Amino acid sequence: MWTFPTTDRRGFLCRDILMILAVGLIVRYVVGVFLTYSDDVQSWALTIANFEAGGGLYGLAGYNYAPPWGYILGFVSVIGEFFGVDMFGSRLTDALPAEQYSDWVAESLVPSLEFALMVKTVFFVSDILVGYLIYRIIMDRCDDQRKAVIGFGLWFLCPFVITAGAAQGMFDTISVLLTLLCVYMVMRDRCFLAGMLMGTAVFLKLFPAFLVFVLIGYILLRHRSDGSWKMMLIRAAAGVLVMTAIIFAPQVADGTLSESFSFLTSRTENMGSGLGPLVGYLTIAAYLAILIVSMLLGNSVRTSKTSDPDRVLLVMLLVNVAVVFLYPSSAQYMVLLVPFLAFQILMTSRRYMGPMVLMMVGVTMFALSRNAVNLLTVAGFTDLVSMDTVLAAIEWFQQPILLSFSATDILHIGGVMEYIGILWTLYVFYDLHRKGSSGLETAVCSDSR
Amino acid sequence: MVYTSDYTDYSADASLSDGILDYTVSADGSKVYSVVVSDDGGFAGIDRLYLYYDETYPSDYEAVDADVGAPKFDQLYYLEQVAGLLEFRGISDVRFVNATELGTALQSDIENGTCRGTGLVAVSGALPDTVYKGNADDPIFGWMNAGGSLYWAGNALGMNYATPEGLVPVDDYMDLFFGGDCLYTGDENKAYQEVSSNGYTKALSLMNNDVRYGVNTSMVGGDRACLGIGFESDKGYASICMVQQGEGMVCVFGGQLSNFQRYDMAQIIAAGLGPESELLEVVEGSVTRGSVSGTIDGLAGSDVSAYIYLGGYYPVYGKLFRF
Repeated sequence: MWTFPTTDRRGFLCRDILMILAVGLIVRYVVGVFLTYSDDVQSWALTIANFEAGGGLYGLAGYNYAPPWGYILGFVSVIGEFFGVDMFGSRLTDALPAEQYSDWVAESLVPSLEFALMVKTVFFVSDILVGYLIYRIIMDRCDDQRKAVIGFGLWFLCPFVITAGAAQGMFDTISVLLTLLCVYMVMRDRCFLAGMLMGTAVFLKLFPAFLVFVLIGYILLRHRSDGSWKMMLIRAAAGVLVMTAIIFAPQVADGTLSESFSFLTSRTENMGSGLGPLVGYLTIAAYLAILIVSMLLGNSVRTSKTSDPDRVLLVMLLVNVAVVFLYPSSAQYMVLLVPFLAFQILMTSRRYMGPMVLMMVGVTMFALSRNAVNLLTVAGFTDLVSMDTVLAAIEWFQQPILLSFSATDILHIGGVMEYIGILWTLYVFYDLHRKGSSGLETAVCSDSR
Repeated sequence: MVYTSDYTDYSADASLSDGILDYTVSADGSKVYSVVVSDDGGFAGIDRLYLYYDETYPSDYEAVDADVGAPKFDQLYYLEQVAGLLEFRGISDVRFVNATELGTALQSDIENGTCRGTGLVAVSGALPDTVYKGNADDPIFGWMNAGGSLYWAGNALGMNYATPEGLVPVDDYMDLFFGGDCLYTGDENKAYQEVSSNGYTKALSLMNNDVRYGVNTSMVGGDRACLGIGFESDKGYASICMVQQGEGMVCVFGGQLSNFQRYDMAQIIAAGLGPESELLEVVEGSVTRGSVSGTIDGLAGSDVSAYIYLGGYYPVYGKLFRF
């Protein structure tokens, strides 16, 4: 009889992990078939088509990020060509009426199911690798396979981790993978490699940049006594520089370097376009404040008196990520919080489970607030759901069902739950720290059962 | 430039003999393709193109908000993108012209008889006074009458003309260009159905369904030939409409300046469609790491053309064959 979780000394591919993998992958592919957020996924198709047409990443409009994700799409396209994915999407004329609810709600240029699943599969592979890293770090820290398996499960079965890749089609999981790999390498003094990973992660999604100060603080703390911190930092910086050169070499060669940074400049401009420049200024001010707090967190790591720097690092990375997301964040961004929450749930206190569960519900709701529009791909390219059903569902989602609130509005409440979850995480840390049990103080892996 | 494997080579070839079209499509990767065969009614297609842009002249266009993270959607960016989209469709003789250069170029075309096969893309919302001042004998009309093709988007065509000092409104501008009040200037902009009179919308993977400033083909005056394609509103306004102007034409793209509109513009220009084009045949298929050949028979007439493109709604290659 199978009980969960069991201890199996055969390593990562034990029975429990395989069960979680199987369940997680089945759920991912079922969700991936039925739900696709067209807007982002079709833009990946456009990006691939653009460089296949000879326009590079930025020569033809459509790609609005720094280069690394484009390079990954280059790899994805090779796989797609090999497997004969020849049709990326279509303008579904019978879905055009969905556009009457506004362009934001629906766009009837919809990625094909084969293309969507091709891209999503890359995210699923990344999910597995992140799960393995979580497992590995917990095993290294606690030597407790039961905890490591639970850590893997908390990540791999987390509903909003699943929806981020399988429904939203966003690449945040790859950012998490690079960030976590960077942390893992720093903990092993592989600072050049860590620098390369951080360099890539930052240009994939900007958020890991805020974690640099904690990582520097950790290197200073860990190598304060042996004096090797200078060499470690030089190696890390060299890693960042080398990776930056590799990443931007094509843009330097074809003269589109400035375009590759438009993801930063244009975002700030666009943020102000709808609600006035005030929003743009507030955004800059908020991120400046977050930057300062991140520096302070890094300094607190540097000056820590702990005998267990790794633990301090993991605790402060959770705090830092939570602080970064104090500026209201999209649902998919939150996946970066999950590994660090999982570490603290399993290494410090089960009290972190409260915000984790709240966010599992809230962030998932928030992620799905684009309602039945996510069904356009399955309706357009399979017979599993009719387009009439999807159009009726889209209309239903817009209708008031409770006072003036529609189902879409109700799903937006998930955004509030997400924010409460972040605040709750920070409060749990604060309260534990006040009581001397946040993990900054103790030197052993506590049992949080 | 992007780090990936070198597999993005595409090519197409076609020949017509005794009413039978032989075509070959090749791709190193895997792509859907379409062979769109038309009777173009004697339209010469486009071999060279002017893109009008002059920052010293006022403009009056409407543009959609740019996507998050995307560059601002302005006139220059739009035109640069059109040039990029045309390049992989086989049209590379593209030149930016300012107001003065445009006036000189059109006059030169008229004098040298080179209007046919020449296009002008203008998305400024107002043509400059060097070619248009609201009179039937303005250079823009002379140029079109001699075979030039004007591709227009972003505002009601001819409503204003631009001088360095400002915009000047024009009375009866619709009569000048279309012979009747046929432009849509209302508020309901989206069309939710394809133009039903021909199959070009699907055949060319057209996408823009915004009909603001678009043309109602049934309201075009005189005996001008016209062809509405793309998407059509309940009131009969089409997202794309080509209207004959003497030997040439004006092609109006409805809606604000947008990505979809720009994609359609490139596709229409590259496909060499004119106001008398008639869709004869469409063959769709898929090619994977190799070549696919086929024949289409029963193609009578002397104005047959074939536009072959790969990638469907995400085109990566296009080429027009005129026979």
